[in-house]
Amino acid sequence: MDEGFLEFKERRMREQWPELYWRARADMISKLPDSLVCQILLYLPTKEIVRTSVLSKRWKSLWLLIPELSLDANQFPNHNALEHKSCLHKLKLSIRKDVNDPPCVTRWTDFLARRNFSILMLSFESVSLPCLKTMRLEHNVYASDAGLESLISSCTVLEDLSIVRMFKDNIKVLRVHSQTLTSLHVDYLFGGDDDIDDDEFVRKGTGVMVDAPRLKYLKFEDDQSDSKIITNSGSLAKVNVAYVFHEHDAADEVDLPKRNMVRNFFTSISGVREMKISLHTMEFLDLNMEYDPLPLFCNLSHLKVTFSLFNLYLLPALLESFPNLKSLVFMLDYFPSRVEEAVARLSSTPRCLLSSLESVKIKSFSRVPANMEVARYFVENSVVLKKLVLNLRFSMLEDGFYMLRDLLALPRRSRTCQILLC
Amino acid sequence: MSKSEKKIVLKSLDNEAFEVEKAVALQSQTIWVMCEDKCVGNEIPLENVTGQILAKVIDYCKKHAVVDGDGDESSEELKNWDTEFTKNMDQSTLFNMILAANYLNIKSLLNLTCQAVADKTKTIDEFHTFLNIENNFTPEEEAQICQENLWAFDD
Repeated sequence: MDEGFLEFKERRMREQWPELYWRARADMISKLPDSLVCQILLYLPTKEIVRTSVLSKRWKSLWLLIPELSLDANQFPNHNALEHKSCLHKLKLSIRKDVNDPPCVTRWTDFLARRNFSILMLSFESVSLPCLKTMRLEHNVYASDAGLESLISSCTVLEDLSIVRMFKDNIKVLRVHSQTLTSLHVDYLFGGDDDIDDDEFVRKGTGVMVDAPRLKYLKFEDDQSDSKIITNSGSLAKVNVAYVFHEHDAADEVDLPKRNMVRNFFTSISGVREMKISLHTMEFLDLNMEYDPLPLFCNLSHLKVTFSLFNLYLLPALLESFPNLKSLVFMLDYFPSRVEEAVARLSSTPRCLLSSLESVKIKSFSRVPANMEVARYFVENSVVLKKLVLNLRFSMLEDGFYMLRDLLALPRRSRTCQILLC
Repeated sequence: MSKSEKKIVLKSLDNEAFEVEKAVALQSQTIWVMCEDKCVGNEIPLENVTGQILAKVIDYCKKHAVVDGDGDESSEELKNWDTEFTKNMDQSTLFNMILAANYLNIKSLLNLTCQAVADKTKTIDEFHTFLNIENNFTPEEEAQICQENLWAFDD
């Protein structure tokens, strides 16, 4: 048996009061309900809280009701006790490589992965997580750029990584280097408490660098960092370009390094087969495409894109970049007040309309001029179109008849084109 | 508002009556709810609190009501007052204060008294002596528990 325990036991025996004296004094605390005992225990150090388990039978599992604990993985190698009974919602856990054997680290990370903590404070001192395949890092503050980089690199079989960054997370450049990663989601969320002061938030020098040769799926939602560099992107198949660039990033002829960075980003993802372009990204392209058109995305067969009334004119120019596009999902985002505004006629015919585009779906379709113009454009100009699917806004169903009448009256460039409402 | 409406009478378990300002008594969520619901008259019976304990609770509420109203008195001073308030309380008074604070639902007083108990029992040995808990484990059971969480017992 462990020497420490014997010492403890001995000391306790030594200090044992005479039995009569014990009985004469009332055991007040045992009269308190569990909830109040826990209130008292909250003010004790974690070690003492756990030690109360030997006080008496009632106390044996009382400590498991404490909602906040601070643990050292080295001293607390066995989380089994916490597994079923505990109502922990805040855990401060320290894991160190030099003292924690790999199975112990794995046990803890498994435990953490299964449990939902509202607050989790982890302190890693260079760990390696050799079995971890999925990792979600949300709203953490990191020790340093290098610390986070090595945490990611140390997961030698990591496949799915999601990082939700926040303001003041102590990361200047996020570096994702992984030989095994297949899915990456980079997000940047501002919490309600974050008071962003533009002066305080220094963009200069910040960045995201991804080097993951097996990466297939990328979702990018960080337009706060200054530069984004993706290397070894040969496996990339699917990209969601939600938030990448900002109006500040739009081509400014003077800032050549920035122009190169933006151009290189799009070039690095240009091998993908599927892509989703958000309205935010379209707004950026509206400012940027005039100077730097997108590179050709020769493999791209599926595209989802959201336009607004202001940048709809870019549709043909955008499609020029996707010569082998097969399927397009289109959505128009507009203010209801400007819905009746006329839009410029879309005229030029990009290559994909002549040879590859077989399916177009317009989401939230209604009989507003802009939507009707898009439908007309595809019906009149697509040579090999097989179907045009109009996903009706539910409130517009009564318009459906007239809309369909107008659309069916259009001359169809493709003989096999069906127009479907749903 | 007439003078009588601003005052309220709290009656303890042992029938001791305390007349206090309404603002003082309303720090207790329990009393606040009773007054809101108009389920009691001007006299509120508190069946779980003795006069001795209630007097102390009222002292606490008076001090905190004055300071909260003033806003000028330093929180430092209030903190010192709180420390003094619990410093010389014996174990039984402290536990009765916890029960009273819980029953009357005065969160700050509950925190203060729980903290005070914890401060007096920083180690497990102090738990045994101060709290006087009877150990009903067999030596084997106790050894088993220590073994499960060895680190906590290993200085």
